[in-house]
Amino acid sequence: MLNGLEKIALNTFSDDLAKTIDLGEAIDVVNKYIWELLNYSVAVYSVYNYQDSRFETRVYSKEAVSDKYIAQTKKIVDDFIIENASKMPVGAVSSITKKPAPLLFGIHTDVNNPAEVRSSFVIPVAIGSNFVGALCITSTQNFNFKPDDVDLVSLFLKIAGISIARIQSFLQSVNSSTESLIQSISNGVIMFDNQAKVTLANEAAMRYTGLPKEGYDLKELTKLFTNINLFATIEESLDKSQSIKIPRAQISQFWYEVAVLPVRNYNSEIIGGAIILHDITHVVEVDKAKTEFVSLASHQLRTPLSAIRWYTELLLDGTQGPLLEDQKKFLEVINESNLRMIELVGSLLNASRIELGTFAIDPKDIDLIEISKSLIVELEPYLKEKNLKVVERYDENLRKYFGDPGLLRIIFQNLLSNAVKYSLENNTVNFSIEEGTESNMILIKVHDEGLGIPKKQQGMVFTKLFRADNVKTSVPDGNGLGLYIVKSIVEEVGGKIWLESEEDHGTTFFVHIPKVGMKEKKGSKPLEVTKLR
Amino acid sequence: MTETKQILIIEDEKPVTYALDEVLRGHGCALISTTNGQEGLALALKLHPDLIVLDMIMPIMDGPATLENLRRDEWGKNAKVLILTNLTDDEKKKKVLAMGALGYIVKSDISISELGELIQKLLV
Repeated sequence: MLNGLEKIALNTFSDDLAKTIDLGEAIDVVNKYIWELLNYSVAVYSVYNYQDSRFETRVYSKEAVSDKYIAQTKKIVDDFIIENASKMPVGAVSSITKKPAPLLFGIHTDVNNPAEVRSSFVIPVAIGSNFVGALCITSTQNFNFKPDDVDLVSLFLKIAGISIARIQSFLQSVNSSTESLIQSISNGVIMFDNQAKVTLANEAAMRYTGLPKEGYDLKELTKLFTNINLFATIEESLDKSQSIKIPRAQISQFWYEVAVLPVRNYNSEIIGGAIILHDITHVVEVDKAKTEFVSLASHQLRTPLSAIRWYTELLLDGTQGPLLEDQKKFLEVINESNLRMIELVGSLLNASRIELGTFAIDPKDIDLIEISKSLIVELEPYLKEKNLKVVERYDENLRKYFGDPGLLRIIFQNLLSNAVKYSLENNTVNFSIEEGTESNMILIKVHDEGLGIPKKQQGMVFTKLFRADNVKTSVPDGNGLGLYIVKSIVEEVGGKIWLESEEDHGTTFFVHIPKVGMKEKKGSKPLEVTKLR
Repeated sequence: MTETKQILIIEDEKPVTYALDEVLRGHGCALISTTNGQEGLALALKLHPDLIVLDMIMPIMDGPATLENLRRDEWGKNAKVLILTNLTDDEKKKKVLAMGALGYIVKSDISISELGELIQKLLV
């Protein structure tokens, strides 16, 4: 019969066990109770761990016995296991000799203690109905253990065994439903462990890679990708313990969006990872067709526009005979509108390259100040038209830069021509290149005293085709693409753009570009840089 | 009296040819024109013009192919060629510049008077 203390212990015991699925941890829990309830010298647990296919031995000493004493206790356990080998999992007993050093808990050994094993008992350890090892409890005293003690320990071990069996079968069912979920996903899913071995690939992944379901080295898979180093990405993902996406990865003529994610166990430790392959071959093909279409379409659009341009110019230059004043005025309107149309074609082409993510960044050693100055010179006729003054301020230390000159021209040109476009007569435009407000950035600042942007529309100026209400009618020659293109470029090169503006008091645009320069990006096409008229 | 310079225009868009004729005529230039690369190549090799103005997209033989064939010829390998097109394809641009074209001009981005001046400059 159980006494009161034992009953309480059994109650809390099952609660404690519910938190563990690891056999080693479970033994710790079991021993914690036996330690409290039973008077013994040494307890040795030797259990077979299915996960790494070997025996794990734990020694708990309540008394400072000698190593020899512990060895005697261990021998009792081993002998018992060998005797019952037929009940053990296949091959388990042959691994008993490969046992790693036992884990020691409790009181330290004392080599000088001459005490020997005087009394002992052995109890089999089972998980569910599977015999997995044994426990031997010994004492330096004669006749130390009563039959009740043996029953109590048996009871604890039985409860532990049943509890673990339940949790394991639950996990197995979770695992098998996870596996069938993975199998049913139309994306390719590849799971791997910490040893970089593939543990499961679903149907789709097998089809994409031509590799089997499991059991091969991860490198077999990663070397299939021709345009990326997937293995390095996987290492990075596990190192940083975060998922990483690769937008375009190629296996022969097929394209995939790849996600790499670390996989954790119930203790939140990373135990491997998963690779998800999403087939985007069709999308890439459509993109390519679109790029080619846009390129050819813009060629077709420019052809009649260049003819209109040249013939209008030929009429305007007077070589075809004198023009009436109105004729001249009308031809100038045709010319101006046509030039806007040409600009629009260039902007549309750029916007489309940005949308398709296909524009290239080709950085070179350049002179930032020289680029700005040449653009301001190009603006000269427009400055004169409105009698505008440009005040330039440059930090000489920032002259040398490693950047794509075309992209920088687009940035500067758009901001400067906007400043001119929205300035009133006799205004001043300030342009400066200076140290950024963040230490690793260069700041380009363009300030005008013109129309400004209404507060509630400031958040929209970088959206495609947007034009603020207060300029739609007063300054009709804008296509609403300039700032969208500038923002896209600035962000693509690792910078940032923002603004301050007050209606009727002017606008300041701030652009940060990274001091270290721009990173090369091989795209199919560079953006169009149009010369100011 | 300066010597008349011969310019071969290989271009399938008639309005382009007429406009060039308009600005270059009377400036000591004689214009010959054709609308495809194959004929243009034959004319170039026969007449050895002082300058060839070459379009990129044309029927039968396009600009890059014409230039490539031209460069195989003993005279043609050093002939002056200016690309005049509305195609803005960076790869093709790099390709023709690598084959020694003197410039790659996008028609819609240049005024006819600037183009006339540029061509005269190239003839010197």
